[in-house]
Amino acid sequence: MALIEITGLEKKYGEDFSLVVDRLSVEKGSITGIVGNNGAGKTTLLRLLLDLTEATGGEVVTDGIAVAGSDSWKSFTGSYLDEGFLIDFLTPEEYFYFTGRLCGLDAKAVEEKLRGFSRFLGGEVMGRKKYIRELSSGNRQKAGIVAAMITGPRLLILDEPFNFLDPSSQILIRRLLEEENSVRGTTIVLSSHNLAHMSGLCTRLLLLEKGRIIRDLSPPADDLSEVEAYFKLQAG
Amino acid sequence: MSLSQHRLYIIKALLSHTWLSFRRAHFFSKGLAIKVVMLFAGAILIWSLYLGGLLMPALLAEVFPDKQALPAFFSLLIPILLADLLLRLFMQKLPRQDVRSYLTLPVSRSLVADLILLRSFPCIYNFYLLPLVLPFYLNVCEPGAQLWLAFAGTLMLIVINHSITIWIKSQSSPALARSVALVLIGVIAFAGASFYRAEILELSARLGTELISGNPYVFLAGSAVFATLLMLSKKALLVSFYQWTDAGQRKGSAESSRVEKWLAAVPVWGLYWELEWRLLIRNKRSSAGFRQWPLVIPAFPLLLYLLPPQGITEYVYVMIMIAGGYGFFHLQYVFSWESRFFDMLAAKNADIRIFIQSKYYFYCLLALLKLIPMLILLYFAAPRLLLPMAGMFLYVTGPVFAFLFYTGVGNSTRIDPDKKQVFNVEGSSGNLFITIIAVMFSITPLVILAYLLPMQMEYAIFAVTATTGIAFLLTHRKWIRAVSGKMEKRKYHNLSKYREK
Repeated sequence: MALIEITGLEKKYGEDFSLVVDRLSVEKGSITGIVGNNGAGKTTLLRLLLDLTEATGGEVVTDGIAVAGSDSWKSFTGSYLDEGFLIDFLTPEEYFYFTGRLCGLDAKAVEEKLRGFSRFLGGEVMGRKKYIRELSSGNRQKAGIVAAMITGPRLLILDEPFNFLDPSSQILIRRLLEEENSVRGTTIVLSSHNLAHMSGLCTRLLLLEKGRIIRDLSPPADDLSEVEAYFKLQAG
Repeated sequence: MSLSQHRLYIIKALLSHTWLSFRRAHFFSKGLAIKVVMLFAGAILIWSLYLGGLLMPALLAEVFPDKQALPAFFSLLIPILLADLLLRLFMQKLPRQDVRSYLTLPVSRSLVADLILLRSFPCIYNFYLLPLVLPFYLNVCEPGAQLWLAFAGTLMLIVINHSITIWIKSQSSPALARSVALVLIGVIAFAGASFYRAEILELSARLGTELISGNPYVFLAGSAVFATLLMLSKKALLVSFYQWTDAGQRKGSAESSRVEKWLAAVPVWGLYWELEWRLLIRNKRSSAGFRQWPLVIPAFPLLLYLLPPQGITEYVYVMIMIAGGYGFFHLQYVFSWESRFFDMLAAKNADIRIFIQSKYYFYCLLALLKLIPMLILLYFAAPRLLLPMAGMFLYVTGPVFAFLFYTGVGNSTRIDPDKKQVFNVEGSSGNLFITIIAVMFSITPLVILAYLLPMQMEYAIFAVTATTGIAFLLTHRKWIRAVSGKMEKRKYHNLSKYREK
């Protein structure tokens, strides 16, 4: 059963670029990865899913709700795209409590949830008496991802979640995402340049090129060597 | 948690975030010295306005000898409101910071728009006129209803101006909306000053009189305008949200201009001149200041024409600020402008001495480009100040620039040149204030010396400022070597500070 239904979606940026997705369904409980080179339209697609950019045409419907006409889908959607979405004058704790409360979690419940992320957050995010703006890029990334996950969303949308993270944190976030999906059945949509992580994590992989989905693969059933070959070919 | 409790929590949280964003702003993490200096400057401004309010009846009696103070003030109401609106269009900002953060959270867009509108009210432009008009009203209004109506009417006019500004700034093309508003204000001001002066003054006086007489229709109409503007602003905000969050929006093309190509063609310094130019015009904070300085070229001669000086020295402190062109402002923060990429400069084969030298020549050239047309205008507006202005140009581009470069090595604070220009305290420090005060007062001994010279004052001022300036211009290679030597010694300290957030 589909959680996200995209129909005739189009986003134009002048004459140079347009993203066109005629029809796309994202199944409940799936992990969908979006891969592609820079400028392929990955972030634009995620922004359209979150109604952060106005579509030139078509629509995105999440759980039966057209995202452009409503705010109600936000109550079950967790997302983190970039650090511009953090409230950087808050401490990480304040930010987690705030996002938790927005989804009906009290302070105790947030603390309980945070315990599950303690290894991922390491010792440099919590209890440091620093505002988010004072954290390093990697720690800001961690704070953003945790805030998106802490509310237990049914749909989780992440843009380049492995960026800025050290290798251990990359492994940890991958495990956390797998757990979130398998235990809670969370539908996850994420983009990344890291093919190794994506091929191991995703149940479906969309390859984007110049605003068009050119491959729709289901690893491990589908051989990803085709995707690797594509990137090698692009590299020349 | 019920739906209404949830909504109440969100409203409370958003309001508390508004307070926190103010309380945790960069200004409050500054040192005590700069806080004291800035608060002192603010107190002086409020005190000056208060004194202005107390003295206003006497001033109005001079301008309008046949009118009483209150009607005389009211006849200026429309021009004051237009001037206030003009100021707001340039200076007042829409408090849209952090909005992107809320749009992905379970907070309705409508509530975020309401928050922005609410946040926009506690801004300095809604309060700065109050220290001026309150003492005036207390002096001239009859105590009781008239006084209260005068306050209420003034507040209503202020919030209407506020709402017009916010409506314009909420548009998805605020620059276009502002341009249209500026043209309209220009047309009204020109037509009012040239053809309908008496009518405007009369209409203005009538508006004020109706307000203090408590005409309910005027208040109702004002409230209706206010409410309509707020509704329109909210509608515009809901559309603008997409633009604020749309990372894919492209604003113009990042092509090299012809000026850059000319600058790049200059041997030795061309590489740095091109970089300096790009830094200036491609960043908000630097480009705002850089694009404003040509306004000074006609403004200063016009000021002298309107308020002719009795002597020669009255304007020396103003001349210090303008004789060096935009460079005087820019060099106060010298080296901090490059803080975001100084690592690259330090790691490359870039000769710091040539870098500083190029920068010095660049700002001397800019100052010279401004000086020539200004001297032409001064020839007509205040010919006695021609020579002092030329001497001051040499003085500012000589010892003043040298002093700014030398003390600028201590500017180890990071600056984001692409942040806003107004009320941006990034890079400011107590030391910087002391530097500026030292620069301003450095001219005093020279003025005293000029009085002692047996020649006319304009020649004496020219002689002392030009001699000092030329001495520094002739020895610039020497002092630039000293600056670059100091810079090399502080390199590691500054580089580590530039990296701090």
